[in-house]
Amino acid sequence: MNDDERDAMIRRLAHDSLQPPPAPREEIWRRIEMERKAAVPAVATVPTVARMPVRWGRVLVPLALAATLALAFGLGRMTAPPPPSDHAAESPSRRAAEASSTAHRLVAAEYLGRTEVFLTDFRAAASTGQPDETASREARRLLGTARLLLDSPAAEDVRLRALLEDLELVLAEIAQLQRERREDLNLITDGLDQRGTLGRLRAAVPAGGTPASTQGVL
Amino acid sequence: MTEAELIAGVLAGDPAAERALYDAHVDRVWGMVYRFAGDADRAADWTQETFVRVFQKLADFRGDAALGTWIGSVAISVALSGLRKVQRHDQRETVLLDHHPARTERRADPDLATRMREAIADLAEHYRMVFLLHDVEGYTHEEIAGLLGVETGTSKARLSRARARLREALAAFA
Repeated sequence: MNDDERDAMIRRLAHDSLQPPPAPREEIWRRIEMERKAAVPAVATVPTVARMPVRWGRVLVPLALAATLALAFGLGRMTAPPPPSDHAAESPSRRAAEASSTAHRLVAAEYLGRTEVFLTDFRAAASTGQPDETASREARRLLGTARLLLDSPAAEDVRLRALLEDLELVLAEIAQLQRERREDLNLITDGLDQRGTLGRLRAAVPAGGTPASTQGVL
Repeated sequence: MTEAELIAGVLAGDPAAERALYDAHVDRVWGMVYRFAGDADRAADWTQETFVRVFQKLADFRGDAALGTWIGSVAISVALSGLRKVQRHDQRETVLLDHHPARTERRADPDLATRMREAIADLAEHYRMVFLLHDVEGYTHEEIAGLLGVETGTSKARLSRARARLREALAAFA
């Protein structure tokens, strides 16, 4: 048996041996309904997307998210703790944790800045013609970093996590663009607009863009 | 009911349309995430998360691609995110446990299908993902590159390494 024949056997075996059991449809549906009902009070002032007319869903939800982010980041600026006056009183582990947290915030800030520049360029290129293949390559690089950040302590901030997850989705779409059609390009740019991704990115990126100015922003 | 009517119904908040959309796609989503998860409890969590996200983001779906393809992308995104959490959890457990009782149990049953499942589970995550996406789910290398955030060549290289490791693992049965 040569390698090709073995590979064919492996594919067949993988299909056969990885057959899932029947889906527990009712149990999962019950859990979905419970989760969706539980989520309603948290966004009581903004109707859920599924229950509102499409046009308002597309406008209000990104606006609400952008406003929430801007408010949160503004509060972060105002409430950032002052530098500790007595370093000797802090434990080494706490200092290490704070240093790690600061490092992740700086990396996230730098990443959001780069992604904002990329998406702004992409948006401009999309309005005047087809972005070239370098856009897909850069999207893949940024996508990899987004996933690293999602796996880092930086993603413990729920707002930053939501933004990174949206970026993961749009960057994956751009990464696949080279094989797709003009309509798909429109779909991506419309998605950017509907989710308010660029506005949220700009709200999250610190003014001045220098790492030193990011404390309290993320 | 057509797909467009189904989507319109869900966006209008019709519970019957929501359930119909779920019924139409749950088996495929379940199958995909089960293969990534490797157990039913995790697969149920990820299927639930997939449909919660689908209902949240359906307003963004324009219908240029098949709805099933879009839902599949959401499911893979959920599975990737879930695997990252599992990996972190497993890394913590590895520090506490230097053996894996469940795996020892499975090795006691060395039939070919069992050996295949073990061999796939033993692959490093980045090899396993590409193998499952390409050889089981039927995605192209270009699609996998987009989904995983890697170059197409990387996807091909990982598939080649994954297959080589599986050939080695199953050599005794060939």
